[in-house]
Amino acid sequence: MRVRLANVRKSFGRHEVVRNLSLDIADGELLVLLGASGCGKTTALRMVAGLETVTAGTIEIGDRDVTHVLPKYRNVAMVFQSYALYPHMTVARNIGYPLKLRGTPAAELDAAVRSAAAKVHLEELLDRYPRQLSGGQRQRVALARAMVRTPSVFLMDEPLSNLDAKLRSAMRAELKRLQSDLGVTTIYVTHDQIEAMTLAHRVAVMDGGVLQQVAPPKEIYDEPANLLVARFIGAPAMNIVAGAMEHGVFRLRDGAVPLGGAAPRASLYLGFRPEDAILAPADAAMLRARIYSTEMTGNETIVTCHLDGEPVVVRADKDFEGAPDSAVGIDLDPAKAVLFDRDTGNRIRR
Amino acid sequence: MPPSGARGGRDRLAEWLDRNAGKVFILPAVLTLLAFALFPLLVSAWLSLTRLRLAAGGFSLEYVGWLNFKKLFFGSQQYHLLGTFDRLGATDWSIVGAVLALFLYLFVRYLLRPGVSVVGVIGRSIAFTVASALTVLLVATLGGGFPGSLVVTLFYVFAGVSIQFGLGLGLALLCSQNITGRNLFRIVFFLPLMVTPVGIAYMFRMLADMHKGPFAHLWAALGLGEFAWASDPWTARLVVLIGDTWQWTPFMFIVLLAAIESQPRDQMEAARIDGAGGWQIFRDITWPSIAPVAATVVLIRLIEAFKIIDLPNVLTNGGPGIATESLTLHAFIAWRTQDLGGSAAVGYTLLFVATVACLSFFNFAGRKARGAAP
Amino acid sequence: MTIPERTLLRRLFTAQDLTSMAPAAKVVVYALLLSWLMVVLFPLYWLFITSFKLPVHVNDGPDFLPFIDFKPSGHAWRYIFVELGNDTLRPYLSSVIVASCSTVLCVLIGAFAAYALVRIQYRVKVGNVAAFLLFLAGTVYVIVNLGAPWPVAAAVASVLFVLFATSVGRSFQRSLGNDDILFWIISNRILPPVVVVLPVYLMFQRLGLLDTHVALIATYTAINLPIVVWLMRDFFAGIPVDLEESAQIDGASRFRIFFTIVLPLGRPGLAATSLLILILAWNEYLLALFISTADAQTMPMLVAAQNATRGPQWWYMSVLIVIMIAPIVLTAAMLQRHIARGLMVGAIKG
Repeated sequence: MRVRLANVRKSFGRHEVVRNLSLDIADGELLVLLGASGCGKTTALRMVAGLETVTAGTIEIGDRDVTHVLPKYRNVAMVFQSYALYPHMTVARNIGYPLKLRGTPAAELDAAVRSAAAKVHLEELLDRYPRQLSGGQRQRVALARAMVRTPSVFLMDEPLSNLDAKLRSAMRAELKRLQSDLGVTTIYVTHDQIEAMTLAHRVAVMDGGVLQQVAPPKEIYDEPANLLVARFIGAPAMNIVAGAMEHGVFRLRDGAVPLGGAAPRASLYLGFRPEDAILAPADAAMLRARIYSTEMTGNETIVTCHLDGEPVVVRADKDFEGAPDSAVGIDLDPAKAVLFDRDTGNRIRR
Repeated sequence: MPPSGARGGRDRLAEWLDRNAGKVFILPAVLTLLAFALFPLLVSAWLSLTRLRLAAGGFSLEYVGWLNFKKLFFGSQQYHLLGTFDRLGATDWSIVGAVLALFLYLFVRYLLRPGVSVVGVIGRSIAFTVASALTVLLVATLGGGFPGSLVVTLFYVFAGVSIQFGLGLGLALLCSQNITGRNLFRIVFFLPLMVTPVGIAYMFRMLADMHKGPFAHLWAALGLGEFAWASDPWTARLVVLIGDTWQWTPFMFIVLLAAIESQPRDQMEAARIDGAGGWQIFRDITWPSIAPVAATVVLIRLIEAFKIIDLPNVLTNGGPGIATESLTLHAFIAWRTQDLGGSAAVGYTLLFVATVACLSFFNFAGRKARGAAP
Repeated sequence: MTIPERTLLRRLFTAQDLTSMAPAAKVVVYALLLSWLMVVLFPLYWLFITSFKLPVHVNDGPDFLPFIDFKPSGHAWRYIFVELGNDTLRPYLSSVIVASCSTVLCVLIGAFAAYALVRIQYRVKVGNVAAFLLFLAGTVYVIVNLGAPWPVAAAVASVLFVLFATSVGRSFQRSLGNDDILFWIISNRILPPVVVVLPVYLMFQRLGLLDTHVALIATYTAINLPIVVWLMRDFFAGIPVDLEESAQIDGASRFRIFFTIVLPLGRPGLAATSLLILILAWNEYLLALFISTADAQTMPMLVAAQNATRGPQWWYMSVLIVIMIAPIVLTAAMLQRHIARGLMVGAIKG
């Protein structure tokens, strides 16, 4: 079902946590709210759930205005970071609780619990208590409890962050498959950009309570709307260097990049991804830098250089070798570089 | 999907209840307290200013102003509430002077501190005035005079609570050692709390019986066989105090033991490795970590101790004379003799003293203890 | 090889390792604990054996050991249960009814309030509180001095106050929060019962409820309420709020959440608090002294009244005290398991 947030605000006393948030989420879409902790993404999710009141603006689910509707009448399902399993109930009773509250007949409830449990491979554990389960199993119970009824929207608040790295990537794949099978609109909150990139149909990046950009993962990665998004997305993050445009060439102290086209402008930032640059001999390259350190990760080597005194990261071949403090040149793909206005931080279209 | 359009009246009632859950949850408690605490408190204030007589099918009231209080503090009932005063000698005066000087010093020191507040000044003024008045009262009645129910209550409260705290803390420290049978001690030590105070009173009358009690041979051997503790004011009070201590030490013990056992183990082990002895560990680690709990449990006991009645009423019937009468018992006796205004006035005196004592303790000791906690 | 005397002495006073005590210290600790054990147990033992003594055994000076010093006899028990029969059973039943009903009621009402004070934010206008007190005082004055019929006066005052609070009351600025409400509730415990018992006596006299179980139950509920609120608040505050929010989204109302999530999880606290309140209500003496005279007389009254009859008859009295202690000890033993089991659930909650 479609979810719409229109000019939603939330303040706690004088402190404004969410500022003028407008989002349109299509039926069946998986939207990821991404941002560092304290950026307002969880508050936004909790407002959709009805756990926080809305200071201003409206929230619609389907065609219904739910801004002032109690959570129980919104027909949403939520998975909490802590899973919020009821410790005094068995797995079966945990999963069946939402149906029991709706007065579902016992036989129907039992069937629904079994089928939900089957979807997440929990059939064997229905009689256990949450304390007897591993972290991954608890996570599955939480998912099953959300799926046991057909909600209008799934709300997920960092559901994978309490799992270890290996389990997390396995659950990620499973979650993505479940969501596309069920086709239920999902809002997913996370601070982990890998999760956001891999799961989302669209990613909404938030910072300081303000929505910075909403776009499909690829667009977020390739065409960040502003410096905040550019710096947040990507590991290692996008390199940002200061300079100016003159006659189609971006100039900085230790080099120049021919970008072509754009009008002359004094204060700009040039951004490029570590994989869009290659290391070259110092004298013939666009940019001249010094190697600061090299880290071999297995399939590649991450080289940190100093350019104009600023650190710049370049992905190199895994066999790359370079002594610290030795001079090195950097060539980059002008088509993939992006420009930002130094005053507003916004990307400049070329 | 909820059938959003077709919700019935029951659902609407449920939603109304849900939205107003805050009021519904707290209202029973608030109404109960209004009916059985606040309302009676106001009526009682009014009663203490009247002379009230029960008559057939009702009662009659007559406003008498402060007469009931005047009678208690300065008139014919002074001996009963405050006691019989002795002329103050040189030593008495020096004690009073020293205490007054101490309070004055504390008060001035507070005034010179940054962050003086109006509430603080008023609170301290009341606390110090009451404490000074009680000091004069104690000195005047305990020396050569005869203490009244107010002084006796203060004796029960302060002697009782300090002894119980000391014993409870000591036992808790012993019991927290690494010994076998800890659970047995814990369960058995809890038992006295479950015994009805009236029962305790009779039990101690039995035990303290000079001829038929279990220690009869001992008394006889000591030449005390004919001694009647119930007719000597101080031994009578002491027996009441022993009964109270027997019952309430377990309370202190249980709570303090829980606090000691939940203190951080690693700190204690670190201190031990650093070479700290038992006393140093207690002073530097155990005490600071249990101080807030200790302050709370003493506060609770203070509050409850002021209400003592069962033990003196049953154990000694308030006697000899009025020697073991507590304020509550005094109020009850006044009520039984149809002096309802006087009873309410005694009750209000008790309320005033208890409130000042508990709030003072909470503000002076309680805050400090909480501040000392890590 | 002989151990020098000094070393032996030293070994007596030094610990073998960090976790154990020196042998001498151990002896002292045990001696002290065992002596207090005697202090606690001996009076109870004496009570118990006295209940099996014949008057002659009591009056002839102390006899300590049953079967050796004296031959146990059930005469006192027979007298209390058979000859007195109903005179014992009626107060006993009275006590059971009053203590159990008031405990259940008190814990329920108190738990409601404690939970609300933890989870719901209250704002009470100072002006309205002051106005309420004025209205209350005015009502009392009108009833007592002008002889107005109390139901009419109370109804009129309530209506006037509600009108006032909803009109003028809205303009007050300063308000009290949860901590103030909590402080007020707890501070009611400082009130000595003897201060409030006179008006309560008159109130029940007016209502024709003097010397009834209802009067005792209501009064006991009120005086023990502050303790329940104080204790239960901490237990409820320890329950993760996620669980309740999850239930809320799953479709549970506040009341459903309270009864199916909060109360079961607060069970250890509930058991401990109930036990304490039961002990207080079971042993209460002063209020019973005022409010119950004959029909609703409770056990403490019966025990206390033993004095007045034919001098102290220790054997009968001992029986009465023993049968008063027994149910409390049994309840404590029963709840002990509950408390322990509940704590285990709480300690490893998922």
